[in-house]
Amino acid sequence: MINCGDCERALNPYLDRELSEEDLVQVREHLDACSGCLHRFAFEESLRRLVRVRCQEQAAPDSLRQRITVTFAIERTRTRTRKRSD
Amino acid sequence: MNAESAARPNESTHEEAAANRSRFEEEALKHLDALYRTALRMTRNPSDAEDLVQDALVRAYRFYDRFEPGTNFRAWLFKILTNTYINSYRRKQGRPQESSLDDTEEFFLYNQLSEDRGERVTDVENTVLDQLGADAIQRAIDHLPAQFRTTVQLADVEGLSYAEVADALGVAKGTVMSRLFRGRRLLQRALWEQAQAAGFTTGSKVHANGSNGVVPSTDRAKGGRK
Repeated sequence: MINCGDCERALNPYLDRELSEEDLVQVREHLDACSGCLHRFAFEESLRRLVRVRCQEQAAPDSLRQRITVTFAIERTRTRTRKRSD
Repeated sequence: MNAESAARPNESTHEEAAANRSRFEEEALKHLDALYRTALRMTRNPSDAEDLVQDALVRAYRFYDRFEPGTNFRAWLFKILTNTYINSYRRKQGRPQESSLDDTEEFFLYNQLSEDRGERVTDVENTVLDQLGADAIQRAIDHLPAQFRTTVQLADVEGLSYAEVADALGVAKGTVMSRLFRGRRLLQRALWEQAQAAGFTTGSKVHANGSNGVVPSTDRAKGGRK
């Protein structure tokens, strides 16, 4: 079984879902047996969630959305004009 | 010389192109929030961020025929955003002043909070961190040095995989992993500083109603809202 050091090194890829199936099994096995690592992993995961959820609250301003819509309309016209003058 | 010399497309490919363009517009708008958030972390200035997103989307629109169908559209947009930023904004902004964040050990926040509480914490809930609003967390990310900032934003906020971040930033996957490793540690320090700046000091009992009750000591409250 992997030790705590190995387990800690796997923290990032584990939370990022980038571990191989094989390593994932090893990490899970260690977490089942080691409450210290389990607590730390659980905490890091909840911190990751906090950052993601709070930051995703931020949306683009409506003014930007409108501006982009207009930009696309202009680009469309430009493409058509170019085609016609071919 | 240029496009003129290319074979003239027939009517059906014109229609196809029009359909492609409207598909592009629809898809691109779905990612507008994510692009804006990331642009804001890159430029740290709302009006520059808007301009950057606009410039990037114009480029994406014009280069859409170079997009390979079946590959990741979102990662492709982030890549164009990154390139646009590097080509035209980073130079304009000059060298951004970066706060110096001390590197920290792994599990810095876990250790701090567990020590304060006298028992292991397994969740940010009911800790000082939980009181940090979106603004404070974004400020913490903004305090990271640029290379870590964008990498952390793309992976931790926008949820890109290592391979997608690597593609978007034009770096190796190993580089993404080491930036995340270091960047996340720095972010923990920055979050802690935000919590302290907000007066959510260590040791003070945090009340469940979301305020920390007692007014913090005056030097801590310096610069705070009075």
